[in-house]
Amino acid sequence: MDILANIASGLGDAAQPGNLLYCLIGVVLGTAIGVLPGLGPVATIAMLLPITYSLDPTAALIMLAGIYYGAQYGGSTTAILVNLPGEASSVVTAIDGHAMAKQGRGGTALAIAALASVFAGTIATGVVAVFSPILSSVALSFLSPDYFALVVLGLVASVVLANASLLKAFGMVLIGLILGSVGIDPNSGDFRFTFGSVGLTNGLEFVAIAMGLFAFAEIVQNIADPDSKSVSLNAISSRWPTRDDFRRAVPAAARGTFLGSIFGVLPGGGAAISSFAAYAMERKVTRHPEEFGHGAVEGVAGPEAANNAAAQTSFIPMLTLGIPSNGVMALMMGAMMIHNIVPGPQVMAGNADLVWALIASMWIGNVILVILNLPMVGLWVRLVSVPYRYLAPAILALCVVGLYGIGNDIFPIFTAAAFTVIGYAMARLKCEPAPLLLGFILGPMLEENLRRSLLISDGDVTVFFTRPISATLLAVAGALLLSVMLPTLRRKRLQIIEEGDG
Amino acid sequence: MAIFRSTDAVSGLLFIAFGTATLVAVLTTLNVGTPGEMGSGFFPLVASVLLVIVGICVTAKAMLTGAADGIEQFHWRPLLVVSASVLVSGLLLVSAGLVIAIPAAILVLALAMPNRNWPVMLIVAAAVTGFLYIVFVLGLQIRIPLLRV
Repeated sequence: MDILANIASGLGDAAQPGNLLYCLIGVVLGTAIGVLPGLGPVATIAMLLPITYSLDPTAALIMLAGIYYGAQYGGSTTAILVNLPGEASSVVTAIDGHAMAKQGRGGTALAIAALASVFAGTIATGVVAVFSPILSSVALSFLSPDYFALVVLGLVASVVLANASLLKAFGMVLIGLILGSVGIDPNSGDFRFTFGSVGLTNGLEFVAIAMGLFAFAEIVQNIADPDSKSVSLNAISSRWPTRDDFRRAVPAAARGTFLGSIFGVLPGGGAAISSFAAYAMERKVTRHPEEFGHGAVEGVAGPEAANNAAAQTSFIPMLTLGIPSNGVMALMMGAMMIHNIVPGPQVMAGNADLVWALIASMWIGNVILVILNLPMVGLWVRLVSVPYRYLAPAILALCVVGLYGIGNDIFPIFTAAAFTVIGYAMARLKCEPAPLLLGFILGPMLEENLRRSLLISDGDVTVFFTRPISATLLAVAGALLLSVMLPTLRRKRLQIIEEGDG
Repeated sequence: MAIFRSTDAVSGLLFIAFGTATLVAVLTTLNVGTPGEMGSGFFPLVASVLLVIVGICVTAKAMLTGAADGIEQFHWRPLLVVSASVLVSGLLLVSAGLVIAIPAAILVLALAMPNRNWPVMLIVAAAVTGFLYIVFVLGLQIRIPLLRV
């Protein structure tokens, strides 16, 4: 049993006191910074990357992985407690998690998120170890049309997720796609929509858009109607989930782990799409659709399991193919190259020890996360009880300095100010901001693969339907759309018929 | 106008406006190319045309169903104060330094707070600035000018 022996030797490496300590430090630092509103894993890892330069490669990667999981969980904590998702993958956690916090069940939501994460982490680590060769060969057979179809599927899933009208959500995706094309076109070198502004040449900063749409627009709303804010302060007594919570959370976490493991391994997939897809799935399979958006336990467990599973399995394309599937993996890849390790097929052969130690530390990191965070739930919960007139200045100031810290540049701060106005207007118009964010992230990838596909097929769009993989993915996307549209149509028709009768 | 009291209709009109503006910008500044040889404007063009179509559908649907759900009151004061606060911090952070920018942003933000207490807000501003200094400058070693006169 090669795999077992590999895992055992990996565990041996990762469990050395020194590496264990770096893993612990990474998780603590990652959570502490990730819990700050608006600072997602990318920002946190980017900030803490310099600390790991002096360590040996194995310790450095283990610590970075710890930071990643800590930041991921910290982001979910903020999403649940203050409705400020730091990055796209915790956007959906905020929907039901924050609703639970408002009902005084914030502690339970945090515990569910932590347990779902470790559950998913344990299984996904096994998936990485066992299916790594198989899954990487699947990803190997993907061509541009398949990537294009995959991104389309991810976007359709996000549209299905939006609570309001399907059409409006589709509009938000399109706005996101357009905003994502701002800046220098990597292909032609043309300046797109920069209007002579130097700050726009590198495109809009994702974190700035997210902070404006979510953090700052939320501050405006909270100041405008202070009544809605006081609800969250009563009775956060029960922190351990009830038997009923468990009964509902376990299947959701299992489904989320399954989805996340698949989406994570596909380039461009990663934590964000996984949590969106998991949330959409939970809404479909549940027998209590009316609870979603109002504190459904499944709405926390599913996406949290999915994004954690994806966080693990997204290492596969990076480690085995040298293709970073998202911003976090790009940073991890950069960190490896600083230590003279070039990710790719040869890493599995030449640096197998390091790879297996990293895989083992994924699991150890998850366990540390739960041991650390369950007792500290009380500490995070206490954050909510700080009066908003003190919390708001602190959040705003932290966000602006964090925005500056991304690239020692003040332009993202102005971007965030603009998106504050846009985000508030969107909230008043009942437009969901989440599809816009996803469109923004996936836009460049969608465009690049569309361009490549059509270049190969010489402008023939049937290329997407003749390849089995892309045709299947597009068919799933189509089926997903139809499944949501049909009941709406039926209900609408019934409504009109009833009105006609009355 | 009833149409301006429906969130859907107004959203649809804004989609049309943004899509049209993008379309104009693409056609005047970018090279569209052909499907087989996409130019820099091809993708934004497709997205903006789709957006205009979606906008028309949303607006038409809202007008046909005649649902005027009423747009909730727009709170201009907090919106302007929060965006102004963010802008102020951005304008002052590098030119005047952290010690000026953060308290200035927080005091601007305090203008929007109900029952604000200025001495307390000053203490909050000082505490937040100190905390940010510890986390970002001492802890994360981000180079931010402290004070520039």
